[in-house]
Amino acid sequence: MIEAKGLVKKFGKYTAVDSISLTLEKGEIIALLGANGSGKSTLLSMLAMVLKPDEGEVVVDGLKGKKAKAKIAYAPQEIVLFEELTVLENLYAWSSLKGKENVERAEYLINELEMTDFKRKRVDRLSGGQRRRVNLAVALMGKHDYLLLDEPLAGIDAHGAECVEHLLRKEKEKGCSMIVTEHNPTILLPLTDRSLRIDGGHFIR
Amino acid sequence: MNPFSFVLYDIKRLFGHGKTAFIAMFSPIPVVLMFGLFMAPLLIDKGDAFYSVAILSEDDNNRVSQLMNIIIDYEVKTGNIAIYPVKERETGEKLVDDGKVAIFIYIPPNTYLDSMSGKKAVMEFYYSPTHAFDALVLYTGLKSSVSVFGQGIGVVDSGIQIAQKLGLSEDEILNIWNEGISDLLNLFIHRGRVIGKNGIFNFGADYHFRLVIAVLFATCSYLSSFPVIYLTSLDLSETFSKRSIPTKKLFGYYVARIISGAILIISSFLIMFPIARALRSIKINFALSVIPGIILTSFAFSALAVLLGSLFKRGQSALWAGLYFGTASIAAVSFLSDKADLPKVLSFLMRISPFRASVSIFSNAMFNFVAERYTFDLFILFCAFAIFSVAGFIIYRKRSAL
Repeated sequence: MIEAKGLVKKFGKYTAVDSISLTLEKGEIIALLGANGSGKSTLLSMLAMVLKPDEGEVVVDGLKGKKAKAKIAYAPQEIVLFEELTVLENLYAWSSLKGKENVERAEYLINELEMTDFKRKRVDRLSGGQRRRVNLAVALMGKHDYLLLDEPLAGIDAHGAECVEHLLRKEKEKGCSMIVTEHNPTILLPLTDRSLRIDGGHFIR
Repeated sequence: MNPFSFVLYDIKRLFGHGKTAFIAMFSPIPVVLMFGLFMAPLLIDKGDAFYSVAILSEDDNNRVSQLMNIIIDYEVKTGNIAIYPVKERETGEKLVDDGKVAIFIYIPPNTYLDSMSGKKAVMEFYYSPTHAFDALVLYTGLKSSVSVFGQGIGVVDSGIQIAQKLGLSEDEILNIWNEGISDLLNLFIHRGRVIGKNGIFNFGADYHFRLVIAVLFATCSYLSSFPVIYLTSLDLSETFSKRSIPTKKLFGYYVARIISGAILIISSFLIMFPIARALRSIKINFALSVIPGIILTSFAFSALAVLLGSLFKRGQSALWAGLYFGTASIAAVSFLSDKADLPKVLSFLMRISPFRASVSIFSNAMFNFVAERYTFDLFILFCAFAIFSVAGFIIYRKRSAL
């Protein structure tokens, strides 16, 4: 279970997230909805522990800090990859950086996200949608109990979106908990258990 | 994945920015060519260095003082050298330590007699690493002059002995000695004219050339580390800060980055040196001794590049910082290395500067090998590598994880 208590994040005078508390139960999938600049990504990056909150804390299965962080896989909104390496090399390199190189897992994700045609291409030569799929695959390479996905379908075509939805459904069946932010929730909404809408750094009903 | 895979991936990333890596590796070529073909001849003809030297001679033999006077007199008159005779060894060493003079020369007792009897004669040079170039030039010049002049004295001495055997009077023998020395002096001055220089040995003739070529190599190698600065900054601000990476693995990638950066810098050396050697005017006499210098310089500059990249959140800011830091350091080495009256702090900074050590090591290794100075410079470069690596990792770790 991920428990966030009273999270606050300010950028200068602007308060991006204002005292938000949230609980993600085991096996649960939450859709985080909201307009641009509503605070979705800031909240998600604090939950993923890549952004330090000004106030509040995040507890994962009773753990804090590095041990808690190790249980979470996070796919940021920005494409965060080694641009000069191929898709396969990215998957191998990132899995090594996260723990241990996992060739089988890499092959599984390449098949699930239908990346076989371009798996030996350099990332900086891929289209936006292809890069988004690689970005997601990299997040799923390590061991994780919780998956935090920031707009995983941005720039992906309809067929690609189906692949992502199919993959996430399998992750859910394995018991993985998720928080997914999305502008257009129509594709992923059927997958979620509940949705939360955020605006101006607050949850709204 | 074995540890070398990180290095291989990182090399691929560094060289993956094709144009950047190409520029970093090959840009020294036109610089070295231009220097070798056009600038080097001008620098070799230029001899305007100034040296302040303290001397203590404990050899009572007046031939020694005659010899030193003849050798140095012209340089003093022309303002190339300022001589400060001292009465105690400690005084001379203190003058160097305080930065009052560049070099202290100590001539032990019996130097002349030892040299005449075929024994090893030793003159000691005491200098701060800041003035290693001055000491090198002075040592080379004195060695050459003493050798040639010593041969001349030997000939005059033989003449005196023959005169004594023939039973000539003391006045006649003194006359032969004076004429002999006078001829010798003329010969020396004539020697200077023949090689187109003033003075007995041309102080500063090689100095600028040696300094500039060594500065050129150090500068080009430093500049070739810029892709490392940029990529490190980019990794920390965008790549690693957005994903969770265990510290242990982060350390592995950090080490890989330093190694791959060093390989990039070594590659630029491998391109520079053969071109330098191919040019007639740039001769590398101690090729083997250059290799440790290249390796340690590359690792020290690579660690410095990773440190600079770790310090700045924006790649461009890191590059500008690297450019200003490098320019200031190289300018300091270029313009202050022959100054004797530096403030203590500046003198200390020059002493421990990895840029100075790098420049010095190339000058030393390429032209005239002095083991003590070479070892000291290697030590400074190693310390710089260790300090930059540790400091870099502390910042690298802090910036890539919460």
